[in-house]
Amino acid sequence: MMNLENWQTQLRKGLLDIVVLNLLKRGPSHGYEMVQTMKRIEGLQIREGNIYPVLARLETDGLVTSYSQPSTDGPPRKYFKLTESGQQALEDMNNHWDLLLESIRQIRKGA
Amino acid sequence: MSDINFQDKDWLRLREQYLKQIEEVLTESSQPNVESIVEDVRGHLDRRFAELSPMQRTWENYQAIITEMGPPSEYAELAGQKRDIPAKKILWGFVVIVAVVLLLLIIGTIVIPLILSKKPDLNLMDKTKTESAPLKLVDEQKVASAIEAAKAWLQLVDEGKYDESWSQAAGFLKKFVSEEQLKTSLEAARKPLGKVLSRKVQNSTYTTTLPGAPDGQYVVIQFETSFENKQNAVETITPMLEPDGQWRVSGYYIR
Repeated sequence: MMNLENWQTQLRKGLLDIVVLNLLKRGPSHGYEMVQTMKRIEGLQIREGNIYPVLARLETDGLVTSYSQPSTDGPPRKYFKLTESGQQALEDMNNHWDLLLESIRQIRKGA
Repeated sequence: MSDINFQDKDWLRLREQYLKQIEEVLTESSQPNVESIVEDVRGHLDRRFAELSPMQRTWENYQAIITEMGPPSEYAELAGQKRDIPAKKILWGFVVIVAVVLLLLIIGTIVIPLILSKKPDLNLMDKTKTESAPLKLVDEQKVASAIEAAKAWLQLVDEGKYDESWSQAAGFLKKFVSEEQLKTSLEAARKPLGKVLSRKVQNSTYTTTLPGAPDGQYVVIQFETSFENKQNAVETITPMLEPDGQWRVSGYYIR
């Protein structure tokens, strides 16, 4: 029998890149803030630490950059923002995602 | 560090254990950015800990925070592909291993027998003891100076001298937060709380690294503070050592 929870977890992890990049499209943000935002969205609740290796990889790939900024409510925070190539990659990813959704919708309709 | 209480030590131990596991997993899978990821996670954990009230600082809650972070194995999985190791590097790795084995053989057959034939140098052992002590003392002196600087800065804030608190703050803070921004933030955070009734140091930690901040010398201090309108508050304040040798505040947070 299929383990639905396991499938959902794998799907969520696989979609982290597109989710994080879309969150950064709204404006610069830090890991802690992004985790808190995702926690409030149904279906996107991730383990809190998951975001950091993803951000590090996106930065290595040149899709995001980081900078530190002092905070009035704690130690300085590391902010991430989209680079130009990150914006381009996100557009491609979003288009592909829309295409996938549409394809699945068509299959479900029996086309 | 001298003011850290027993529960905080438990947290620090658990946090370091978790970070070490992440570091090991990432290093084993040849991931780049190991240090950066570990520091980001450390910052996240520190924020989660800071959100706990003194009553909530229990072993169960510490474990819950770690559980919510996820297993260390997931970090390597999400960090992506392993770095390719070029054939040249593998060859050099082999050469280095052979060199180390040869060195160990030389040490085992020549150096150790020579050392064993001599009597132990007791003076050397004494020196080791006395050399480590001043280092700890230096840290304690730094923590004491940082606490004095923090108290002086907090007094300005207590008296509503927000303009002066900005001019007395660290250059790092002033670079990113304008005088007006600091004034607005402090007014919003402090005015509703009323006057300070009591304030005592809860813990203080000397560190040379902080997430998102340049390497330097920092002391993270937590004060247990009672205000007119909030009895159990925790003020976290982070003085940093500036090039002129003065400790100045680089961050302030009330919970």
